[in-house]
Amino acid sequence: MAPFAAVLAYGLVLAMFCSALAVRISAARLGEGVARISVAASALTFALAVALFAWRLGQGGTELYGVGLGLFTLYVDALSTLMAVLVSAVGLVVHVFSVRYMQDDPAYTRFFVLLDAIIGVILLMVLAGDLLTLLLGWHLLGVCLYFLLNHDMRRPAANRYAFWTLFTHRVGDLPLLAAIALIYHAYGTLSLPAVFEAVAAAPDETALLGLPLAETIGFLILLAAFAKSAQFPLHTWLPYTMDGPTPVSALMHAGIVNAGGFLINRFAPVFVETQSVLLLAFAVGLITTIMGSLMMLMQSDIKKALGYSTMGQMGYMVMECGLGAFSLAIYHLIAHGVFKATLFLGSGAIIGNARKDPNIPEGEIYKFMVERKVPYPPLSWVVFAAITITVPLLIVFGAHQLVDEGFLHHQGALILLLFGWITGAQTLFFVYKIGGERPFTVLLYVALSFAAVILTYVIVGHAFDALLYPDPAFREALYRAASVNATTFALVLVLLIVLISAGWLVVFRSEAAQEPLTRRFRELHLRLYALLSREFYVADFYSRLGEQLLTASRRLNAWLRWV
Amino acid sequence: MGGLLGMMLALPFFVLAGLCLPLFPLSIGINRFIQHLPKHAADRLAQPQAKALVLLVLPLLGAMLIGVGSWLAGDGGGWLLNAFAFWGGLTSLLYAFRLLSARDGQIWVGQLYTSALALVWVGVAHDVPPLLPALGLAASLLPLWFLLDGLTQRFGIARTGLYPGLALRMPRFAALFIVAVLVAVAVPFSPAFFAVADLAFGGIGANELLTLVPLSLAWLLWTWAGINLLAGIVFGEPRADLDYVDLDRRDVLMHGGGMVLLALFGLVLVEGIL
Repeated sequence: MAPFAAVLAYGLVLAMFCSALAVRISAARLGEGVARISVAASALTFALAVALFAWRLGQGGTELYGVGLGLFTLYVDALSTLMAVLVSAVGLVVHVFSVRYMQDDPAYTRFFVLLDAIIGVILLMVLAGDLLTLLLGWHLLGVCLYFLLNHDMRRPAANRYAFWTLFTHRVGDLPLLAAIALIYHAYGTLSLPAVFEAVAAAPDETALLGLPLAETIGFLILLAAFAKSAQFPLHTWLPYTMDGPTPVSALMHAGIVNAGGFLINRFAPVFVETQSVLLLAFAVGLITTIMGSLMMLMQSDIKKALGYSTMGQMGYMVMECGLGAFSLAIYHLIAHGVFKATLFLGSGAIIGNARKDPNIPEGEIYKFMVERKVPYPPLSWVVFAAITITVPLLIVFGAHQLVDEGFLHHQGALILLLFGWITGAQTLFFVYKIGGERPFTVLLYVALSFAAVILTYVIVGHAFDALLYPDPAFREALYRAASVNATTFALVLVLLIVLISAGWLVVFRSEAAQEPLTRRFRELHLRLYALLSREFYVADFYSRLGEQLLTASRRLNAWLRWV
Repeated sequence: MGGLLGMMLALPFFVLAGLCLPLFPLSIGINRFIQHLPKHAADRLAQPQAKALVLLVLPLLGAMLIGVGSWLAGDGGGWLLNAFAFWGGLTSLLYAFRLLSARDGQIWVGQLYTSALALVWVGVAHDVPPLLPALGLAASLLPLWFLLDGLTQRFGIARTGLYPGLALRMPRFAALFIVAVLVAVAVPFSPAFFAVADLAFGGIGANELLTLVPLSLAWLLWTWAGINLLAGIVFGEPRADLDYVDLDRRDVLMHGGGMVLLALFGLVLVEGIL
């Protein structure tokens, strides 16, 4: 008799595929009632995922289950069960939301078939116990998403952006295929636990052109993750895919883009043996975070702004992995998934309400944004700047100190602390800029909210550490794999802190003197604005390249007479 | 066998195999054959069924010829096979690139067939038995081949962009057509997917770059070309001036059953890999 956990694991993957089939078969008889099947299957999947997660918590350890083939094995561990809970929860919310949202849509049945299929595929991917099943799920995810984004089959724009999505996802499939082929050649197995054991036993294997195997595999895994998680310069598919139905956007931004973070975590036992490849994740994640956040600020379309916000968040998630904080990245992707799904599902109502009543409620933000009236702050800029720079620093430092006294030894933790500080300071600066009649009250609220967020982040982050990577030595090794020379790091960190503090002081001084930097450096500001409004010409470059390749292909075919 | 004489004797066999597992410019022959239209009813070899049979038989013949050639070349024939692998990789990339602009159904299938089968050479050079991957790649094209023939029968020509939006007028046909295109461009669970995996897993041991570069790039270009095909036939605004006749249940069962069989064949290939 199959073990209880195997039944749960296979049950939760199969439930969604069976639902897709049942919806298709019953469509003629039940009409829009097919959604009931889909929602019921989704609820069942969620219940099974929770049961599996609870079972895993109770038992501890990991299990690998198979069906007698080399394919379709499932791996039950903390990461896979936690991801299954997230995926099935987001899936359930999206299903319930879609029942009414998609009502009267001519392709109602097709939508639910594809929605069920994609949830099934994601679950197969996160629970995969062998590399070929992982590749199957990874690959099919892009295919299902292509058809969901193409929901309105008549719209050329939907088709174009769905193509961008599938093509980028396929670009991400190739390094994963290469990594799997290298692993199979080196270790002669595709089973995940066996591969991890083999990597730990022989970490110094060499592969491609004599390069270290772990480093090469890590590099390829990162490339695959970058494509799925919309990292620069493979990000263009994400913000443009708003032609799909809103529930698909929610699913994509709350679930699918997280696949990159999951993949990096899945291969943590490989990354722990690497020397420098995680620096690439840090660099790419950092660039993506900055670019995504900047481009988000440029958008007037709420869904596109959310799209770029996701890009920034995904950059941050990859950056966390690049710093060795693997479990924090998982917490980040779950937290981001929850709030981004809420934002996307609520965006439709916000747009609808704004159409009915475009007036912005009067208040301090109205005065600042619409009337451009900025009350002069009651404090001198020097005092406010000092508060802005020191208060967030004290909060992030204190929160870390409270939970983990040894955090100063981890370079990754210090970098994340730096980002927490910058974020807090930015929020306090906005309080200064917006002015208002009760700046101290607002300041207090912001400081308290910031402290609550940071404290939660740190505490839950540590809980995730204990859940996903219970071995402290392994966690240390992950941080070590992401570290650089200690002296260089200290110098760069001090330099960054000085530069950022000086930057804040300059900004405060210019704001106080009513001479914003954007006015003083107007030419540079306009150029940067133009560059950002064209999104760094990345999408234009790809479009142009695609057209030129098609023209070259046509010419070559004409020259060779199409044979 | 082996030695210089063995290699001299092996060369013609490999060249003949290059006709079956097409290598450019030997590939021109098979592409001409696929594009050849029947001029009269007695022209049986130009009928779609006969062509499909040829598409399936050629890889078998190619695998056999390679087997003989490899035996004749012996252990010292590695450099010769590497040269053919390089040739195969280039042919595959050339045809995959050309596939991007192919709009006619028969040209499309011919170029994909050439690009896919040429990849088998990459595996052959690295001791991957050619028969199963070759069969898997060739068989994966058959559903699309027959559905394109169905389009020719309905509209006089199988060509993208002429009658878009079939999903809205012929939903059964469109659904099968989508699956057939996905199977052809090696999406799981098509045998072509497992054939690509087989070639990658087998070939990488001997030469990583020679194996992975053509395989990866060709696979990527097939996907692009497949999406172009879908965009011009399945998606878009349907024309109002055409008569649309969807597939009946029997045809759906026949095509669907064929695809299920292909998926099962794919699983056989997986067990071969593992």
